[in-house]
Amino acid sequence: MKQSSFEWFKYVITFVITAGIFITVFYVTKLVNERKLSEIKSIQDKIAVDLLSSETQFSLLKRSTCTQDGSSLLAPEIGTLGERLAFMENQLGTDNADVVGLKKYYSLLQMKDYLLGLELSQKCSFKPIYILYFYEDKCTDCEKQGYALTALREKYPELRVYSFDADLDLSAISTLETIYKVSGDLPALVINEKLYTGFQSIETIEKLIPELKKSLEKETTTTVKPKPTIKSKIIAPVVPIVTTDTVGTKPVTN
Amino acid sequence: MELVHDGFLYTALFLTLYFQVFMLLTYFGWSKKEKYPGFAENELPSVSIMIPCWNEETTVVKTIESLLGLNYPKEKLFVVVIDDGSTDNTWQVVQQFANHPQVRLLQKKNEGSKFAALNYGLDNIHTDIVGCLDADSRVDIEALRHSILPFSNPDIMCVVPSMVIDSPKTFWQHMQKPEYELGIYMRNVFSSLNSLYITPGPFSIFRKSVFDKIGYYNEAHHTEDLEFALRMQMNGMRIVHAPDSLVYTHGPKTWPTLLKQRVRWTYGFLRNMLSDYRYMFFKKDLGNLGTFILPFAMLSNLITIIAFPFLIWGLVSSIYKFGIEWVSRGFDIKTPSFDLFYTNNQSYAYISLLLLIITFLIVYISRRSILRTRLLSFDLLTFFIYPFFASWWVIKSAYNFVTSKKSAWR
Repeated sequence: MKQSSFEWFKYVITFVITAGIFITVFYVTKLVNERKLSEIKSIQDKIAVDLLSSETQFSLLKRSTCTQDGSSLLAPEIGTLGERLAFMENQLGTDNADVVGLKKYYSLLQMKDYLLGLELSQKCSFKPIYILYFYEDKCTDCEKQGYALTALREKYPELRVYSFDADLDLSAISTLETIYKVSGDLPALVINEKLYTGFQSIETIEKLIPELKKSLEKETTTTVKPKPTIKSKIIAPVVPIVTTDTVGTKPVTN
Repeated sequence: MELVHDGFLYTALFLTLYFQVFMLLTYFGWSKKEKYPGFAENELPSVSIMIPCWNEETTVVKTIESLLGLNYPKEKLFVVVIDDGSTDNTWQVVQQFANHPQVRLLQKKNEGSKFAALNYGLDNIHTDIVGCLDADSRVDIEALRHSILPFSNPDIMCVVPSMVIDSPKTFWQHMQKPEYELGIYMRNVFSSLNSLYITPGPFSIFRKSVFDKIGYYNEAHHTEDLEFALRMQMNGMRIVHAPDSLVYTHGPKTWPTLLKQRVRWTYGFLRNMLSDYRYMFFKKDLGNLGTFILPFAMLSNLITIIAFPFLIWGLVSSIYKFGIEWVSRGFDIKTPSFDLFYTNNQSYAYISLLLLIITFLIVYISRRSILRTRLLSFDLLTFFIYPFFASWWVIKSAYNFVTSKKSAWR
């Protein structure tokens, strides 16, 4: 009768290989996530520079008339950046420190963009179409509202949606909430300075903002050149002046 | 919850990957391909193949004919048909072989399980080598040659074949085809590890002396082929796999019959392993079988059971999420974007992908080196939904085990 042999070293080698695969996978995952986050970070930095330069440009031109298209002064990447951040939040979890940091940065950038838009609308004929959107984690209606707003933004490129996570510990968001009297009742939308709580369907929002449909008509008749190129042409000479200043103007998050 | 989920997920993935790496290393490097001395033509042993049948009037003739067509000396090959008290025309149908020199017809009263029919047949066998073939199976013309070769080594007591699903028609049969192909590879590796613990009904070939030494088949919770193999292993009798010995079998056509079959297998495994043969776990002189293969087989059932709620939860929540998106943004077709940024970058995704690749690699190995069939086919897609069904029958078996509900043979 032949006795079966049990060779320990085979099991040890298998363990080493399997553990090696696991460690490699974890390492690669970490590396890729870091790269994705730094990609977001660099887009945010670029937006910060762009906004600052727009502000500067706006101040410089203050006394003359608004000759150029106002919308080109606002940051076009802000919408897609939000989607990327949401994806990373989904992957890494809401508690991830890097994600939280980037979200705060993003919220502040949105506010700057929003304020710049307000200023433009006062001084120039340009009137930005925007929605302020307050949401929180783990709320079904917020999830629905998010999808609806994304769909709207895809449909109307002129629309600017500024989304703020009410759970985020950021005093600027609290201030904004106080201004528009946003309570714990979420999701909440601010459309034309008026507060709407609860889920608002695409159709409702389209009715609330009649400019949306008009913007689409204008879009089809007048747009010739893609916006980012126009923007970079205008901004280019101003950038070197402001970049030296960006370090200091980066919003410090607490 | 998150922690429990991730903890389980990564433990299960690690164990599964460990097992697969061990199998691959064994297949590619650690197993020495065994060389058999071989038989001279006039030394070939006499063989009897038993066909136990219960209401097999439509298939039994084909099975007998496939056996008679085997490439093997006619004076050394015998077919023993055991009609296990069929209530249809099986007995009448097989009468056409009544005067055939190679065929013996036996009839007995049905006792509700296959093992009794096999034992009845064994009492009427006078050859050194004996095998069995289910009435719904047929053999490749060279199968017996390949299965007999290992017996030229006097240590080898049993040879098991490679099983292939015969001309699949229904979805369920197509699902079983790649599953059986995986099984061929596993059987090959288990053979190298001297760890085969099932001698399947279709075309396992034994030395008759095995039955004289360790006894006949037992009821064994309707899994006599498992119990007998375990008993052989306990007695240090070697079981090997003959990869080129091909047997074609008809898998269950419908979900209820497939479920019933799998519950019988899994329930039988749990019953035998957790009661009568419990002591085989971690038994030192059983080598790889006791220390690794059997504990892992048990563990994989446990993993399947725990994974099931997670699988269902994942499925339901993604459908729910899709529903919410659909309701809130309306039905518009989004242009799919291939932005690399949005690829799932979580460790489990990569490891699952690796395991999937290994699975396809295994099927590739089976198809290329053993079956020599087409390498790609649509039935491979069933791998994506197979786990749901597998969980189902494992859970049902475990439930039956806990509540001591007996599974029926049919």
